[in-house]
Amino acid sequence: MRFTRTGLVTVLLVVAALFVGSWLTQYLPNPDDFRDDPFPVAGAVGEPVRLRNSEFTLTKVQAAKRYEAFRQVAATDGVFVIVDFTFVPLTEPGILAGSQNEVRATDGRVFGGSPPLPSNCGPTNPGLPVTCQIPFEVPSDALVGLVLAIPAENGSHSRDNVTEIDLGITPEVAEQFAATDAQVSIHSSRPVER
Amino acid sequence: MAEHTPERAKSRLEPWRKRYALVSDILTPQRIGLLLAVALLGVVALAGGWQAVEGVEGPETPKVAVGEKIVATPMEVTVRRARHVEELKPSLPRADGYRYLVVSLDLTLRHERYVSGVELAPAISLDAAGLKTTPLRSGPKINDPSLLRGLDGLPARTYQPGLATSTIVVWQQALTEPIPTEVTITFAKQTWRQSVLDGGWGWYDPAPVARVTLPLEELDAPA
Repeated sequence: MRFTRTGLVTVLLVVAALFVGSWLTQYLPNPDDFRDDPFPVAGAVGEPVRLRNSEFTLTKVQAAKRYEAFRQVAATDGVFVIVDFTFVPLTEPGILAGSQNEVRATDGRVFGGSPPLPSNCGPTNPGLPVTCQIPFEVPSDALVGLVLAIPAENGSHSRDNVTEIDLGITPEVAEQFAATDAQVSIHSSRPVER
Repeated sequence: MAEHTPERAKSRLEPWRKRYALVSDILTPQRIGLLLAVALLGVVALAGGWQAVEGVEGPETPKVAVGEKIVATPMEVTVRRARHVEELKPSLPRADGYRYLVVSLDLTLRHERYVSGVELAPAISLDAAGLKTTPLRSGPKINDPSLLRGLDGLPARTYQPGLATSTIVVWQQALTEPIPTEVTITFAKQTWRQSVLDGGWGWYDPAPVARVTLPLEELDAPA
């Protein structure tokens, strides 16, 4: 095999083209980057938020240093943000596990998982709303701008409907929440009185 | 016209080439590679086998003083005290044949998402004889510690990002063992990766990063 100048230039050009191509691809949209993204449905306190299989209305947001459920008391080094909401499945009986909901801070932190004392919402039948209370334990530096994320299906915060409800915690409210020493008694899920 | 073909200079490898030509139909390059691989396995076997590597101790885990901050990804931990007790109601009921060894510490999660206590527990281990084990096919395995919340004594089901949580780490030790005067607790960093079994993301592969030796006191001792 003979090496010629033309051959050498061709090889260099091919290598350069491959290099530029691979460098450019990192700036192109990659399906993996958004394949798992949720389909958020925005809302605010007092507004019904309709997901594909259920409807939520956030009715109250309060803070506590301790909360009581099932004759036990949970305490925190941070703040318990307790959200009250109504939940109504639209087509099939539904239940919402307390551990499946999240609140998201403006700095990207996500709070949730199993609370110290369990709290569930439901079960209930389609068209029969229930009221629920779910606590989230957060550090006081994350309170401002918290957003509530409730998934349409338990455990599915991706590729599906998820609420995006602003809890309305302003810096002033956050200050009050951080200073609270309240103890709140959490009720279990119960039917809405009409 | 007389022609002249220059004679090619003899390579110094020529004698070896001739010798190899005699056996080249048997000793093909693939077979030579195979023989070398077999020889390598033989040497490894004579040296004790691959298993021997597991017994080789890595670099010693650094010692850290009580009260000093330890970063063991995704945790940041400060160890406070170690105590022993046979019963502490309602969180630690009396257990037949076992006492509790408890270490109190502050644990802050340094990850952007909440993590369950069950995922963090394998990263904390205690050096003490007679700890409760679970029988497995591969032999008895020391149980991961239970994590309790220091403020309310409830199980620490979840740790939230950036929230310093006072925590009680609990092991069970057989009553037949003498109560140690001091214990060493080791913290391991973990790696956030996808499971090869189910594809789910989690914290795996604990690797020790720090150990703390502290006296073991009776739980009734004044704080």
